[in-house]
Amino acid sequence: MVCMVGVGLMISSCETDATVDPPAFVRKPVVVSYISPKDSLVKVQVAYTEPYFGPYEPQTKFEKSARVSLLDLTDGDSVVLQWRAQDSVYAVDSFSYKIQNAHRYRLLVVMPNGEQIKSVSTVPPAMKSNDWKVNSWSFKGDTNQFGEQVYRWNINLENEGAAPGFYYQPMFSFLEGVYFYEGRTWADPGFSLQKQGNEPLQFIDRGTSWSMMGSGGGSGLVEDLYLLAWVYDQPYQDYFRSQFSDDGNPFAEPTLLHSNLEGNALGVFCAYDFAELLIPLK
Amino acid sequence: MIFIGLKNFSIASSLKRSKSFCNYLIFIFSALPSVAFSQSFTVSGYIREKGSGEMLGGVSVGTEQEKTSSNNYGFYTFQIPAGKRSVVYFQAAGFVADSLVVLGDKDVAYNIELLVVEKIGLVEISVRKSTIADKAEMSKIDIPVQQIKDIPALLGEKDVLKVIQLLPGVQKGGEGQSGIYVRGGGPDQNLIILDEATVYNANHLFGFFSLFNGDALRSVELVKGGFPARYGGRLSSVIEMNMKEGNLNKYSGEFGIGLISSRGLIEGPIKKNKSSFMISGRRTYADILAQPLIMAATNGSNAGYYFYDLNAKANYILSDKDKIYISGYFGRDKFYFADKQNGQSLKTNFGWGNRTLTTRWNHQFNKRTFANLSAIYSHYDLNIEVNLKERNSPEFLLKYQSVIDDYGLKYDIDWSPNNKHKVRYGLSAINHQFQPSATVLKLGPNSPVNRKSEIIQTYESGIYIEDQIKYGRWNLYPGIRISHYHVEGKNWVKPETRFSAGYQIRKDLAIKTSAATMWQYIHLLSNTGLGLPTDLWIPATPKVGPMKSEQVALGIAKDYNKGFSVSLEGYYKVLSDIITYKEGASFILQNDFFDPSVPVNKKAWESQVTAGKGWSKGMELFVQKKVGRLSGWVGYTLSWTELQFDSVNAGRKYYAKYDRRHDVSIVGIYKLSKNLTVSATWVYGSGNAITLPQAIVPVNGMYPQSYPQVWDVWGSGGNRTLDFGARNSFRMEPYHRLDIGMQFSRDKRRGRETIEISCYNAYNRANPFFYYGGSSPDFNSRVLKKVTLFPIIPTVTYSFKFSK
Repeated sequence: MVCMVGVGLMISSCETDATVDPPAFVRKPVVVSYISPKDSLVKVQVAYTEPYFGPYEPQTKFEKSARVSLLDLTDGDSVVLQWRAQDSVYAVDSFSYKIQNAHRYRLLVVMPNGEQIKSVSTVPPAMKSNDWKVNSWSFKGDTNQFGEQVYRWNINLENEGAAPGFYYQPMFSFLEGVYFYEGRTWADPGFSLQKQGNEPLQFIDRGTSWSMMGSGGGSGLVEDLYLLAWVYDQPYQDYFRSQFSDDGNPFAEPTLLHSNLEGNALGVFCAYDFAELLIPLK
Repeated sequence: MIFIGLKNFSIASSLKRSKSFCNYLIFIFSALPSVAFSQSFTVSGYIREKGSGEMLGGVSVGTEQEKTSSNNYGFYTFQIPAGKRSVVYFQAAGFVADSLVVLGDKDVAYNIELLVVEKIGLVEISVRKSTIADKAEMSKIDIPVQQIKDIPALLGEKDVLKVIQLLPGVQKGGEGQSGIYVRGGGPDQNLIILDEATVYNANHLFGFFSLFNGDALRSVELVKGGFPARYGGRLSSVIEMNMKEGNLNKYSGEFGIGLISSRGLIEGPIKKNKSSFMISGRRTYADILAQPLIMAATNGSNAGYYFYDLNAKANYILSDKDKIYISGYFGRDKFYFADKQNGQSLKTNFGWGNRTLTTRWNHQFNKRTFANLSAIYSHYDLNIEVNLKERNSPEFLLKYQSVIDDYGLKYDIDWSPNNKHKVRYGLSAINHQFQPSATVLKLGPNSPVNRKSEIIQTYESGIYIEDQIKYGRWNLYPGIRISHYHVEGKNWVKPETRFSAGYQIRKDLAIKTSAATMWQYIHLLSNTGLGLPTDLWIPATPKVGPMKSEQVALGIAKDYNKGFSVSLEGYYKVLSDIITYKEGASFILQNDFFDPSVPVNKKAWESQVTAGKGWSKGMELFVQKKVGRLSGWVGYTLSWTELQFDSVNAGRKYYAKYDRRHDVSIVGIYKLSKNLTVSATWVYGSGNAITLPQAIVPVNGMYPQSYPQVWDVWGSGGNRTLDFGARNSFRMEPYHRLDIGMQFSRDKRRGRETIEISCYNAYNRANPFFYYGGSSPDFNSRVLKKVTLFPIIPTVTYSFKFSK
């Protein structure tokens, strides 16, 4: 028996760690820029990748000596963005250079060594307030398995004015006067839809609101839907999906970071817009 | 030598005696070559092992000019020319060859018993004729069960699948794992059948040991290409194992004591020469022995792990022409933990197991026709249960279950119209019942929340015909299988063509080629690729269709004296519609699974997977010596395996995890004397391809309004994301290992005892099991760490074989 236990202990102590050579690291430029007609600043970040293995480098290495320019391919208007130290980005304010809906833009970054990084993106058309409507909805009080008060909701939202090639995603809360109940309040690239054919986009969702937000009491008799409707282009969708598709799950399959940049660089140049709407619930 | 007299035979008279529809069909099939029958007579019967009465399949039967072989049930049939004296030889590796002289004047029914070489004290016999060059089949390897017992193994646990891993074209997943990858295929693409029943999870202890207890096995065969048409349902390989039938003449047995388990086997006649049984069992006992220590160390907690398996078989000879078999396998793994103190009670169980049951009826219609009808049941389940009770708190109960049940029928007919044709045809039908996940959750007084998903019913059937044709120097093996699959109102009917051919340049030298199309209607979803019990078996559905493989191979086979044979094969395989998890997906499925307001999505996995293609090509060298003092083999594989999925790795091709450029195995068993055997294996494999984070990508402050920050999974620091580079672009260190063993045997008054001393990983190589990112000792940098599982492990086992 002693022999058996000894073997058991030996096997259980078999697992050993050793440090081995990591993958070879090649430093690459990283260019990230989201443009939107709603932003007060047009920003482009130019930095470098850092080795994952090796000494910890808490400080990001930004490139301050690049030449960053934007060209509106629709009307030919261009601008050179200036280094803005407080945000570590190249920027231009929206008064000097206005990003416009449905315009196509080209980003060009010339690195100090002459390397060029470029990309093109199209800003989505502006959303109209009557594009969105609530086809059906329900909002009911219930008790969960812990005996707590919850509200079960489901909703069918429709967007009739979606532009082809862009992704639409609603985020919303249910309002009861000054109080609100959380509906879908988080970004989820998996919940976005792209227009296919002539059919309007249909968003069918359901969930549980655990409690009412705000002070005082609420009766669960909701009156309005607060809608934050997002629209973005394909590179935006691909880049975000590649970052968030694992949903923080350490068992998830690794994801290749999407990039729409030409040149030996990582990152994205993409465009988005959003609209805030209040839709009465009948 | 035996001389047999004459007896007339005619097909017509045989048909008159036949009343059944089956015999009518057989007559139709028989009609074409009937002219040939009139000029020949038939020698037929069963071949058994002398002493035990075990049926012997794969025994070569024939004259100098022509040959055939016995089927899995030991039945053979061979035509001899009329009016001519013929010598019919019976020979198989490991057995003393025998012969029969027949006069060619009547049909002969002759059952023969072959003596095991070991039993007459020989260590070497001359094999009169080699076998590898004169077979049409290629990419097929028979593994002598005795070799499995002689090869040193981890902790002395003899393991069929680990021996199969030592063959060319077959790769293992990781250190100590039983999961196998054949010619670029995943572990789910192997059809593992035990007495005709499919075994879904062939592993104990997360793959460190396989289910198959070598004591209970009679034969093991691996087919990795050029598949005969009788096999279907998997893309990459067939591993067919048959259990021993049990000694018909006397009681005998064997028991063994190892470091982690003990095993025993008993077999014998139920009614002498009429019926026999075999029961074999194995159980680990670390949980029993370690229990007092664990309880002492954990202040009363009870924890442990064990596995057991039980193989049982019985057969009954109803008549000269009829025999029935019943066999079953029952095995289970279980981890458990129980703790009770301070008013709190926690119980955790994690277990999985297989059950199979096969009932077979052999019937010999006539001297040329043999049939087998099988009814097959196979079951696999995974169970996880967590139960927490606390004073003044609601009970927490979580039960998770994943189940597969198969109910099948199979009918096969062997028909040998003459020595130039050996036809097999038949049909099979299986009802698969999948319950990929069923959960019961109890969280409070208003529970339980029963989240039992619906059973998915699928029906898979096949009809096939194949023929082994001898035409001059050609050995041809054409076949076709029509497979049918039905799920949720959708049907697939797929023809699967099979063809092998061999051309004998000389008696001992042949070139061979094969082509095969295979369809598979079941998938295995795995994040780890290790073949863990948590991997999810799922059926093909209208949304996630079946997989297909097309494989061609070309090879050359040469036999040498003293039992040496050499084969060199090249292959190219294309896999279509194989599936993998999408980027970011995992086996943890619906986020809202425990929300009772959300209906159970019984196919939630469908949205997590993506379909793509795979390509595998390679070359395999196999030098084998099956008999003599020195036996074993040298295998070398040079291969490439690439995959491509539109939504993985930006649609670009990448190497599979198990892509292995070089794979070498050397196995040697040397019988120094009747009582002393030494053995050694050495393996080498190029490192597995894995994906590691390569760079941190700064995205500081560059998120639009309302979006969440990057989840810091790999500890990259906030506002950063990771670049993993191309999929599987990093190679682990190569794997190599030497195992050595020595078996001392001696005769005792009531049997024979064997003591085996073996050493796993004899030169203590620190082979990689997995890699992870960790901190340096001074916590100033992140380093890549390799985890090694097994250092040098010496083992002693004892076994005793007895007979009455």
